[in-house]
Amino acid sequence: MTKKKFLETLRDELQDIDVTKQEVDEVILEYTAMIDDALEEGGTIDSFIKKMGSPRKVAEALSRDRPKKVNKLVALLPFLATIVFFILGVVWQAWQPGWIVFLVIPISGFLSRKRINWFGIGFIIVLTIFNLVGTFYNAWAPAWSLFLLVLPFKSNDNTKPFQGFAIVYTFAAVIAYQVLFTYMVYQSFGAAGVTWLSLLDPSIRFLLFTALLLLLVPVVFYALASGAINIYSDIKPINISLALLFTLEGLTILSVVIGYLAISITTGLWHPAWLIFFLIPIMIMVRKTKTFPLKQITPFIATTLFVLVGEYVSLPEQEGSYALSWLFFLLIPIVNILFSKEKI
Amino acid sequence: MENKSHIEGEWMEGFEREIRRGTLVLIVLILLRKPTHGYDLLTRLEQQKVDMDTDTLYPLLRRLETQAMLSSEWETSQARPRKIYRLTEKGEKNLKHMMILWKDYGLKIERMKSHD
Repeated sequence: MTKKKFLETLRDELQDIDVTKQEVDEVILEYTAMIDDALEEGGTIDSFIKKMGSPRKVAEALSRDRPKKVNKLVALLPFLATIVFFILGVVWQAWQPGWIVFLVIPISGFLSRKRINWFGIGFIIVLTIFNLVGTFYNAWAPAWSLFLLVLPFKSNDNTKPFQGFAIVYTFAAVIAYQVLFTYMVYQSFGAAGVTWLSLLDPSIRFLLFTALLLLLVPVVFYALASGAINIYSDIKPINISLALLFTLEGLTILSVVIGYLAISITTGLWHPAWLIFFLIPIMIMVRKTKTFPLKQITPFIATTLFVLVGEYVSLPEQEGSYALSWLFFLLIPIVNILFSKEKI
Repeated sequence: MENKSHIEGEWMEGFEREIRRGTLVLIVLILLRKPTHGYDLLTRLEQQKVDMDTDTLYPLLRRLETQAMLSSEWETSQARPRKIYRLTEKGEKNLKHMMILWKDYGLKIERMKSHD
């Protein structure tokens, strides 16, 4: 890390806590002086971080000393979302995709920070659209490709010069993919409903779909280079995007994407096959903590059980069991209590 | 047995951390009887082999300043501006009281040890 990068990151981190601009400027000024002193004595930024903490740690430590402002609306949102979820489920049997209302919780979290996480918000908006389009039009494919639209909005020093081009290309490629995919699958001959695709040999069909996917490959490469699909923050930025493919994260992400497409294309189970994407954050958390962080992973386990049981276990006179499977979410507080370090 | 020694190691680390937290304020106040800037203070703590968690020192200085135990001013006479921290009257008074407490606890522990 360079001095400039350290101070920039520190400023960003400080803007997320409840401090005035004047205070931020003062902290930055003081850290500038301290870094200069450290460098003058022959130290490096890394050794300075070892002694004084990373920008995030500094901001966290400073925020610990000040009273926390509680946004009442944000605190109430989980309860409001639960009420809406039940109304949707009980009145309209819309447990799926009704659970989408719970996404307001992370969105409110992203919005309540001073430095708004548009990347996270974009991802959740796409997840919502994906689920709605999938549920109501059964168009899980090609809707999944919408997730790619979020990726070029992240960049780093290496990819910044290409970002504008990457955004334009991504939107063009995703639209082209959606149009061509829809044309190939749904274009039928008159009233018979026979698509021209169904008349082709299966191997040629497979080749056509694969060729279509090639359109999206540059988008994935840009995202790997910019770090957009490298959520593991401890990996240092690298210049060669290909190298990322060989990290465990890169390989896992690619395997999950390929696995998802393979399962979905061969079985048509776009939902709930998307649950496979949970493997990415789980793997990252396991690597980061070097343990099995059960508490952090439980929300993913709970959601997986909620969807799988809700989808495939039928209640008497009802298709599916979302009316009861929501109870799996109670695993989150239960695990938190059972595995809390605090003594009760 | 291995498991037990692991727990003891963890327990000891926790104990050391508590001591460190409790005494760092005292040590910083002692060192700041001579006004100095942040990085110099860090160097002096290192010279005295005072262990502390990273990210502790700067927030501690700001907290002590908010509590009026320290005051600070920007020194601009040098090549680079630096923020100099010094003990306030309130800080001096509290430091004296803390030193008495520290000595008192030390004496009590020594006394108890010699009774055994």
